Amino acid sequence: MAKTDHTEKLLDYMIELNHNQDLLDKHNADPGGTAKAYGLSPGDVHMISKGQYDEIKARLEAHQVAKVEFIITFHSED
Amino acid sequence: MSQSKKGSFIAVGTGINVASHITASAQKHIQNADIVFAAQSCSVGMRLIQSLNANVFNLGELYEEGKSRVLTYRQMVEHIVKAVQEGKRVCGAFYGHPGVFVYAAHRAIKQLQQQGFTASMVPGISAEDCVMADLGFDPGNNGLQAIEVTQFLFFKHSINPHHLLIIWQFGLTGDFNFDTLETEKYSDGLAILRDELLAYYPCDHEVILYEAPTLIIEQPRIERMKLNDIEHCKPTVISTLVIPSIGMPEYDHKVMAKFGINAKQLEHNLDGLLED
Repeated sequence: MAKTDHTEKLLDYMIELNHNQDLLDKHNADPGGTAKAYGLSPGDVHMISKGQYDEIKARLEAHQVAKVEFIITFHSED
Repeated sequence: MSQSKKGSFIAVGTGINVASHITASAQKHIQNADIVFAAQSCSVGMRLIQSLNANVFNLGELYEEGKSRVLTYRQMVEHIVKAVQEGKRVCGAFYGHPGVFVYAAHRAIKQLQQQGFTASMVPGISAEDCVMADLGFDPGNNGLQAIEVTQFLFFKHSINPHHLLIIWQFGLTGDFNFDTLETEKYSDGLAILRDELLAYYPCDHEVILYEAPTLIIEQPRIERMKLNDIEHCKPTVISTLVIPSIGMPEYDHKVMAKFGINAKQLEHNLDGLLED
């Protein structure tokens, strides 16, 4: 699935929340309203307002070729 | 041995909630690299790394369903080592801590150092650090043991139930093919895990299924249950089983006497800092 402009915007939002305290404060006070004002798609605004984090992550990951779920080591020192 | 060969490797950790946890040091190394080999658990992490450096190879592309993860990890090492041998300044950006459950980072560093290249690692925030922060545990209180679930089950390890115990990746209990990420396949293994843990803990001992959040707006997944009930929980590939201590063990009076101190004096000196 190709990455869309909406996906890019959602990624931007998720990253900026970590660096922009003002945006984070607004999000915490009104997640849906803040997401809408940021320019996210109606579908993404709905997910954020409902706190549907599994769906948000699935949405973010849908376009990726592969992602690392975890890394396991079972090796001995050799 | 002189390590003056052109080409170098630095392994950095980007943390669990990458956008929040990435350190200034990791960012600097990513930015300064000729090429970044990135192993990330989510798009946000990959996106952040791509914003810091235009030349990023996604190590996740080496994974395939049904392909042994052991082979995948070896391929990761080959990619990293080859780039360094070509004279490049290489950075490996691994989510979490680059030295925790990261075969490729350790192996690449070892091989490259043996070949005379500069290769090293800087720490990052691991899921274990998130356990301490989100669940309020302090390993200084009772000590800490941490082990991956299949290692615990398939090797004759011993558990000290007086320690805080962290069992990693218990959603994949009993995985010995290393070729799938589907946790539903391993649900029968949870009953076996429970039976093994009952040798150390009472059946009603509280245990915790924990998942660290990867987005800043997300809350950690924290599900408390009795040990007897873990076969009914639904772990994912990122789930951790956290088992609190059963309490402090008895004092070792013989050893304390060698230091000229007894339990009463120690407790007085610590003034209530020792907790169960």
